Amino acid sequence: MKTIFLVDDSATMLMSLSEILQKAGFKVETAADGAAALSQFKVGAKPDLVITDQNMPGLTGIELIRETRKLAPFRFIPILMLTTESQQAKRLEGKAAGATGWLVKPVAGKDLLGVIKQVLPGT
Amino acid sequence: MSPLLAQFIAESRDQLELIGVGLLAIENHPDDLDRLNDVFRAAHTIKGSSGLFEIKPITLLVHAAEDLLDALRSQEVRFERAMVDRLLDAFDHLSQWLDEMERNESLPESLETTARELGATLRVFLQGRDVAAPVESLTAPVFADLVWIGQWAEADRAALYHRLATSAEPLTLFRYTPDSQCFFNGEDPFYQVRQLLGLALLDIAPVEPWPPLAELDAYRCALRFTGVACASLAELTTQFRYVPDQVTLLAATPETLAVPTGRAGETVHGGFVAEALTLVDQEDWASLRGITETLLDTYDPDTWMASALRWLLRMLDSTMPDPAAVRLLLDAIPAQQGPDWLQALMSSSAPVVAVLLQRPLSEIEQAAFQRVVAEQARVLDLPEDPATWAGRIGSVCASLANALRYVRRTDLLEELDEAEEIALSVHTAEALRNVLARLLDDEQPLPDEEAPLLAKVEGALIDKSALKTLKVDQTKVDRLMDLIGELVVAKNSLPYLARRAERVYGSRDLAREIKDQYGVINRIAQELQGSIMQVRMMPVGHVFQRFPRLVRDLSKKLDKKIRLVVEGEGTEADKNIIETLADPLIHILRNSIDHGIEPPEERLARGKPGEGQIRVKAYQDNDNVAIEITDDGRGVDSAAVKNKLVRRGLLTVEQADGLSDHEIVQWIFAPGLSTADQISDISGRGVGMDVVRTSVERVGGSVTVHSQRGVGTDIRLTLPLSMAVTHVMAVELDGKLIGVPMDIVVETVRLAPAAIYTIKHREAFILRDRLTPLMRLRRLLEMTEPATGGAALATLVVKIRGESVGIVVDNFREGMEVILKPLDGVLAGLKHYAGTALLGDGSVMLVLNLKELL
Amino acid sequence: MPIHFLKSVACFKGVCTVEEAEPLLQWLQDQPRAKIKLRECTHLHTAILQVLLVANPPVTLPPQDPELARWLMPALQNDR
Repeated sequence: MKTIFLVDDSATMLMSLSEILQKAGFKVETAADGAAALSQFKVGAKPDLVITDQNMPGLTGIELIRETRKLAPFRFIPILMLTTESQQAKRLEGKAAGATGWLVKPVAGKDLLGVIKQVLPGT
Repeated sequence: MSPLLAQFIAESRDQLELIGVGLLAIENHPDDLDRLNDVFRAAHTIKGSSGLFEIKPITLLVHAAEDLLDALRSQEVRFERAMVDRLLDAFDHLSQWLDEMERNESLPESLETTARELGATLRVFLQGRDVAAPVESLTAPVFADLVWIGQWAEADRAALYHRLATSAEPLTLFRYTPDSQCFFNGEDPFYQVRQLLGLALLDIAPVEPWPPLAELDAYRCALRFTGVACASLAELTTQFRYVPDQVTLLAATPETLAVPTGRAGETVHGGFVAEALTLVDQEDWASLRGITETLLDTYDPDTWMASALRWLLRMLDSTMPDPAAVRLLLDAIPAQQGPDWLQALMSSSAPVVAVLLQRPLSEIEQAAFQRVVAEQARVLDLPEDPATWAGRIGSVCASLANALRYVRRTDLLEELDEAEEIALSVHTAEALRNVLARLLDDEQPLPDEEAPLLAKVEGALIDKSALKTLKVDQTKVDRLMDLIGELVVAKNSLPYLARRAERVYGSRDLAREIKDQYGVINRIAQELQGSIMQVRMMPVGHVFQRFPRLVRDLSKKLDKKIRLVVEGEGTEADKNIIETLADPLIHILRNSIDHGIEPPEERLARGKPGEGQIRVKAYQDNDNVAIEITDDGRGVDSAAVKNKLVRRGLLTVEQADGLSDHEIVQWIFAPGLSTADQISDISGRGVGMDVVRTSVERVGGSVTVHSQRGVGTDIRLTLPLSMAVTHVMAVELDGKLIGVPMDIVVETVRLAPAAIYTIKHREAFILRDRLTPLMRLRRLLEMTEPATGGAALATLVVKIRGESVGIVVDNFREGMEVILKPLDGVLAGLKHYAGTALLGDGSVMLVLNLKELL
Repeated sequence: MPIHFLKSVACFKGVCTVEEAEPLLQWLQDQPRAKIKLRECTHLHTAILQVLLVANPPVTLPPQDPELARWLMPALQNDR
């Protein structure tokens, strides 16, 4: 079973995305902010895919991606960024920091699973 | 209600609190970018989540607010105070809508109009700001030619051509040259290509000749994917949306596949092309077909000519051959090369237009690009460390290359490569700095948003690595609390059991073992209790959050200038205690604003600063949490209080004269005493400070006031940190156990009836040289009193509001720890009881609220 | 590990990830006569594809997955 790691400071988002993903057969792990995610990555969390919100207190999504890419086990892992329609510029920054792609909020289940299928082989 | 909706509502309320606090802070410090970011983020979160539900008014309104906040944040609009008013107003509406959602799970449609109107009041501020909508623009295709289509076997292309002739599917050509570092972005180009809709033909080739196997860098992508897909341009654009800079797309016609291949150089029958073109003009497809078939037989199938004729026949197979396409193919025959389908596509009047995935950069993108470049420049300027030099240069260049590709400045990539090489080989970043300098736009200095990034990242790591927050429904914690209560009760039955083991079964050893076990369980239960109490602890700041808004709104209304200083927001106490605090504190605050702080003119006349100050300070004081509300207003007029007390008959003139000013001032907490000359709509009518005392005392706290006329008032609330476990003294009354909160019990005495004095129908006794009032609990509870003869009376000495009182009970029992449950339902009105507690033997004990009873 | 290295044969199974490209490259460098079996492979990462394109080992068993075989095999056989 593939593991997806969600990072979002909004519990509502975490809840709704987790539900969609779990129904689709993924194992889901979550963190409420970038620092928490990063410390989990450092102590051995090894998801197949990371989805992170961009706007979070503390580390932003982009900062988290930049830090995450420095961790050897996370060099090649697909990382998706949650952005809003208006954040086109952030996507450029995100890509430069190492993001694989992005999702635009609000995220419909169909789109979410579609994008995951697109970046995660074997799903 | 669905858990998700409930979660959304709860979360949005939290965010609204943040927004409220933040907006007020911004009002005073408009350039506080951190605050602005906090508020923006909170609004953003609400909007993001609201999209999950069908609640358009909320989404609409928050969207407008978010846009304004974003414009403020990026300094596209200048701050105006009116913005805060409008934003606060908008979020107030939102708060009401959330309440409505909680009740009905939906919002009336009419609110959509309200939301638009409110949104419009916010968007007014955005006028004049030009919103550069990204425009898709058409530019020249980047495929130089389409001859490469001939690389696929004719049979494969022919099969595809036939399929398209019958299905009328769209056809799109693509060339995807992934970034060489793309694996480090989590990309898998081959997988991406395999996912393409309607992928029909694919070629995978290296972008440059392969190095020897021994020199291959496995993690550097050096492939190019070229292909044809039966999908629309839009569909492929979507599929390649994460790598637009690495892809060339072209919407094509089926004829594009008709690229003849094979051995060239055969003789061409001169008359064929001319005759064929005439037949095309006449649209005599049957005759054209005839002469083509005849000619085809004369060529070796391997030749270019045979291939061209076969393609011609395929075109003619169509029910409606396209004359233009047929002509183009015929035109290619004399030279035995081509045709140039790209030309055809470009000049075609059909809506088949070549589109490059390119559009001008928006200003935001330009700014983002500048930030990326600036950040790289900053990284370069960090103190050098030979150990990390190569890594730093590599990361700078990778980021720059990505950014360059995104903004389509691929012309600079080569220069960047060179600069990287120089930097790595001779260890100087001059060349790289030059590239950066050229990219940095000197005319537009950037907001220094990214600069302190590294420091910020480090800070965040230190601060928060240990911080993991879990939001739990309070009912779950309460349930846990109940269970622990039951565990404590169950545990308390063990000493009984030990006693029985010894007395009834005569086994002293067993009794001892049970007692040992009891000790262990007791310790665990206590720790468990302590832990769960920790869970229930929350910072008092939670309540303080509402204050700035209150002070702001009220002072505006009253034309007063007031500065609010809040200290010790982090002080923690039990959630119930905190919640109890909210209303009394607001009441006190209102009083201070309304009656305490003078209008500016009056203050100035008295030699005080025009701006009054209210200080709210929380701190921990042993097992209590103390909160002080201090103002520098006019203070309590003790003479007025005294007059009122006498006038209302609460005190005689003599009694009143015997009291010090300080003692008089305490009377402001007495029911029905309001000292304000006028009743205002702010602190209200009839509800005095007695409400404050009642609610504070209900949770076992106390309140005192210090006031000096003309100088100010200081009100101090003291509350227990936790109300989860209560120490009670059990007493016997009419054969039943009754609890008395231990914190008010001073001592127990056995009182000989002879020691009791009766003064004016009231009983008293001498305790350590002081005359102390004496009450009989049976009388207080309206129970009959049996004759006790000359036996000593079990008397509990308690201290209530600083006064010692003796309480006669039937007998004393042990002190115990209980989990006090407030009375529910109809019983909740019984103020004489603080609640009930479950005992070790399973019985229920009532716990008295003596402060109310006396 | 979806790639099993036997004496001179590498068996690919399921989804072969980018992390396996480097070990595969090492192995192929040490085994000039290596052969590969792709029968149970459902996908291989671009990085692995590149290594195979450069090393060009004979494929004894093509993927059963028809769609993978369709796109992969021509590429692997092109350079022969």
